[in-house]
Amino acid sequence: MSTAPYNFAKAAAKALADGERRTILAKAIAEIHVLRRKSVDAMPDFEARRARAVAVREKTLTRLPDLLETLEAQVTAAGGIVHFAEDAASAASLITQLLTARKARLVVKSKSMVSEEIGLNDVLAAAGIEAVETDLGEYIVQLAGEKPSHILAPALHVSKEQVSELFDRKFARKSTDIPEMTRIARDSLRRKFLAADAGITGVNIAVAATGTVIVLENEGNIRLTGSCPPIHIALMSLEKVVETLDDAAAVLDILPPSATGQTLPVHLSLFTGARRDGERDGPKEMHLVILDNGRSQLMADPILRQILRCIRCGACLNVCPVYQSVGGHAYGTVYPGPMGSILSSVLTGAVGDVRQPFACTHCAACAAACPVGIDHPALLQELRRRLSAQGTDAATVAFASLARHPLLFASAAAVARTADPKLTHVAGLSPGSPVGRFLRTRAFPGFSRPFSRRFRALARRLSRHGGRS
Amino acid sequence: MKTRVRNAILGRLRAATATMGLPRPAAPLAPRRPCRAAVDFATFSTALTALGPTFELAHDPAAAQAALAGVMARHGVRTAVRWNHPDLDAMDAGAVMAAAHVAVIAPEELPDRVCPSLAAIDMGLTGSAYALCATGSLILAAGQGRERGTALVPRLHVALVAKSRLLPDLPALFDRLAGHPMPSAVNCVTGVSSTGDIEFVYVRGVHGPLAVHVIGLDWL
Repeated sequence: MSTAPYNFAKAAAKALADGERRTILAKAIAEIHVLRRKSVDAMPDFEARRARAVAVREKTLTRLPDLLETLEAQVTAAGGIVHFAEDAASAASLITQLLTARKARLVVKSKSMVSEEIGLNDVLAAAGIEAVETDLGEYIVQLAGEKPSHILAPALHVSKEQVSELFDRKFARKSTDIPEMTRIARDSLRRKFLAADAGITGVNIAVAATGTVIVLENEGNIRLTGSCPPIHIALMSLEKVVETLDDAAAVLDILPPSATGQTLPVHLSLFTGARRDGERDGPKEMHLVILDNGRSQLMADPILRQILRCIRCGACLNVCPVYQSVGGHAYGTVYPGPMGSILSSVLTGAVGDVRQPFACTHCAACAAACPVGIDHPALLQELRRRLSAQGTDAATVAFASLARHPLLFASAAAVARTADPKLTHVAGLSPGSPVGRFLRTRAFPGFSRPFSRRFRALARRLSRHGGRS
Repeated sequence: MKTRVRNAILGRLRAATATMGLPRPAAPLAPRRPCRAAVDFATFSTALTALGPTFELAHDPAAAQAALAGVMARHGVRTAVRWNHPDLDAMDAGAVMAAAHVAVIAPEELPDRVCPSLAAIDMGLTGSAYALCATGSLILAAGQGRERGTALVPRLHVALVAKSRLLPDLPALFDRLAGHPMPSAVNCVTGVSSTGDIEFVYVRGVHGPLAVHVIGLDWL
């Protein structure tokens, strides 16, 4: 196993150099961004909706253990079976054992970030179980042997020409027409849906009072996955629970608008347990797997636990200038973007760069877009503070002490302005020094014009793009 | 082993939440804005047809029968599967299908694995538990004689919506559902399945039925 720490700066530089991918990314994000803005702007009561959603998510977190117990009892009463999993590896092996014990060979899956988090597909493949992703974007990514680059639109980074080439290679069917390519995927996946031994879905919201799993989608693949195969396994991280259907409605008031700009997705499915006596379809067995993977420990952290409000709408990714520039893969983590930079740093065994929080520009467009009021920049600031407390280099310490004393800072900047405005001399003396590294990884504006004079123009530009100063 | 993991997780959560107390919102919460959509077929069909499905309003059983016969003819329906549902009986849907020589599978004739058996069927005919006017959504609740596959696998889904089943919006639906035991599946279907996964180009008709036709039963 490789032990070299993941380097975000290197991955980001590589992503930035890939002009074609950046073009695709920019176009796709612009589209999704506009959809969300239009939808949210058209809601005169969006702020009231957001306030209710925040209240529901906060209430949920304070009552988490009780709600999970109620959920367990209600799912069981509806004929389902509930499993708790401590970490990624145990969740993946639990599901694999469930399937092997029932001799399942073919499994259809709907898109689930928790499934990515536990690396389920690799574990299933190792056990000889064929797991087919059925969300079109996720299917494309799986066929290409890649990972999702967005929590909502996994194939955001892929062009139609690339999909066309992929389908030609995999199905020997040539087309660059997007509706036609969608039809090719439908044909191929339909056979899998009808033959599958089990279906695995994620969970958008779990309702404790009724034991109901709620899933949202447009394609219909989740409805098929949860309805046709004889076994349904739903996989959720433990914070996805809410108390009542009314609370679920408060979350649904803001989730589809923030995610895709829709009032409701095409398919909103409420699954409660297994098929009942006398019903001729629906799963004979329904399992709900509840994953912890570091979240219960995170709950003890009074500052960072705010990230557990997250409902995975993806709005923070779409507005983030860092995500927009480098795309999801550069993060090296399952969850990218602002929410990912926070969540990945606290999940058990999450890969990625521990210094990821330092990539944030603090523009706060994410916090402005977040429908559950997460203050991402503040949480990233806290993560930076903790990382710095573990030790930092002499140059940063020196800079920090300068920055704490405005007079001292102003006079040092005045000296630099005349002597070495771009700090090139200082860096030139020792390229490996902290100043040298700083200049290589940042676009340093220099000291030639004081920041205090540039600030107004910068702030205006920032607020035009949805950020705050 | 299983209970040990469960208890460990719940124990950690209990320890963490013990000191939290209930959060107090900074400002009093505004109650949900009541739905302003009128609860009638005009509102419902406007929202519905904007999303791909087609709609016909029938004022009496004869008009509903004509509407069903028409949609079957337009889509070249030879085979169908249906729900056992009072709204189907109220318009005598069985007689319409028999007159059109459509081979119909009743719920009790379905085999153990329902979905594969419906792959080649032309039409699924269902009623609906409710319909939401604000969004044009059909609410399908699974149950005995109301298989999930019927509205999901055939290429055409025809749904009957009785006037008395119209509700304003999703919160109103959740209020209704909360009062009763939850069915094993409740599907809120808003439009025809779609995707934007390739370059955000909107494509209608991904999985499930490629066409949805709704007949409003104005007298029920």
